[in-house]
Amino acid sequence: MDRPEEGGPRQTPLDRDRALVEVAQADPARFDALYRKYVAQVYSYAYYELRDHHEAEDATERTFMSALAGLNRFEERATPTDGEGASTFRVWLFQIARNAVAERRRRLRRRPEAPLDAAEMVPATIDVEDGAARRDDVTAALRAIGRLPDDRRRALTLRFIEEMSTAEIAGVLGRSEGAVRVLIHRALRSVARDLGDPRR
Amino acid sequence: MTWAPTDRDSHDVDALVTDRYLETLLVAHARGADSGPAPIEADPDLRRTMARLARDLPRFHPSFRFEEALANRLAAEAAHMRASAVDPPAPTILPDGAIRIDAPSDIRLAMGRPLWIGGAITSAALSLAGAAFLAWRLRRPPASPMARAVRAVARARLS
Repeated sequence: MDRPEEGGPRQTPLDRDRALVEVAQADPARFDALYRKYVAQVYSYAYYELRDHHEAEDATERTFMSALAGLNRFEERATPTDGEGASTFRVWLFQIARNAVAERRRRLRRRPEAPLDAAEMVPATIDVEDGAARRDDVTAALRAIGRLPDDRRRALTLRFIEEMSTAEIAGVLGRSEGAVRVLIHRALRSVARDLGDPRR
Repeated sequence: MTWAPTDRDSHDVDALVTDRYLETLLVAHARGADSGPAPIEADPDLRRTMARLARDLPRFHPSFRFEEALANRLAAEAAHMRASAVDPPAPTILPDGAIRIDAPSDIRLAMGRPLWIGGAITSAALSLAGAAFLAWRLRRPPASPMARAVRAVARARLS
C-alpha cells in the first residue's frame, strides 16, 4: 500500500522513460529506442572507467544484453522528490553497467595491461578544431580525474559527463545522497589541487 | 544548551553548497550559457575547477560500426525472445514413455536444462498432462517390442 506521507517509496508517473520502457516490456523489439538513447552514455561511462575502447565496447554490449534480458524485471521506483527529469530506468541501467565494468576490471586485474595515458584518451578532433592549448586543458582534466580514487572518480564522472542528479548517482552507487555529495566535494578538492599544481 | 558544528557537519554543509552550485552550473552549461551561475558561497577554487571540468571533460562516443552491430544483435535477441513467447516449445515423447519439453531459449524463462516430465512431476498442470499420457499409454495395446518393454517397466513402477 502506498503511504507517501511516511516517506516510503511509491510509484509515480515521473520517470521520463516510462513510456519507452512500457512499450519495450510489451514488445522487446521496441527496446531499440532505449538503446539509442543511452548507448553513448553507457559507453562513455565504461570508457572513463576502463580507459580502453575494446573493453568499453564489451562492457557496453554486456550492459544492454543484460538490460534487454531483464527488462521485465525492472520496476519503476521514481518518487516525487526525484524531480521531473528523473529516470529510474537510467539508474537501473547504470547499475548493470557498473557491474559489467566491475567484471571487466576483475578480468583485467588477472591479466594486467598497461593503462592508456590520459593524452591518448583525448579525441583527435580536438587538435583540428581547437588547437594545442585546448588539447592540453582536456589532457590535464582527464589526468586529474584519472588520479582520483575509484569511488570519487566514478561519482564525478556520473555528475559531469552523464549529468546525473545526486539522487541518481546515489541510486547507481548504492550510497546515500549525503555520501555522494561529500564524495564529489572531496573529488573536486583533489582535482582543484591537482590542476593548480604546476609540477603536475 | 548550545550547539557547535562538528567537522563532519562542516564537511556536509560545504558539500551541500558545492552541490547546489554545481547543479546551477551544469544547467547553465546545458543551456550553452557563456558565463556560469551567480557565485554563491562556494569556494572560488572549487568554482573554477567545476567550470573547467564542465568545459573540458569530453563525452566519448562509440564508433558507428559498433553501435549498429550491437543494435543488430539486440534486435535479433528481441526477435528470438518474442518468438519464444509466442510459440511454446513442443513436447517430445521419449522411448521410455517420459515427456521432455525443452526449456525456451528466452533468457527470462531459461532454466539451463530441459524440463523432464516423467517420474518427477513439477506442477499441477504438468501433472495432469503426465497422468493423462500415462493412462493412455497403459490402455494402448503393444505395437512393438519396445512398447511392450515400456509397458512392462511402467507396470513394475506402479506395482
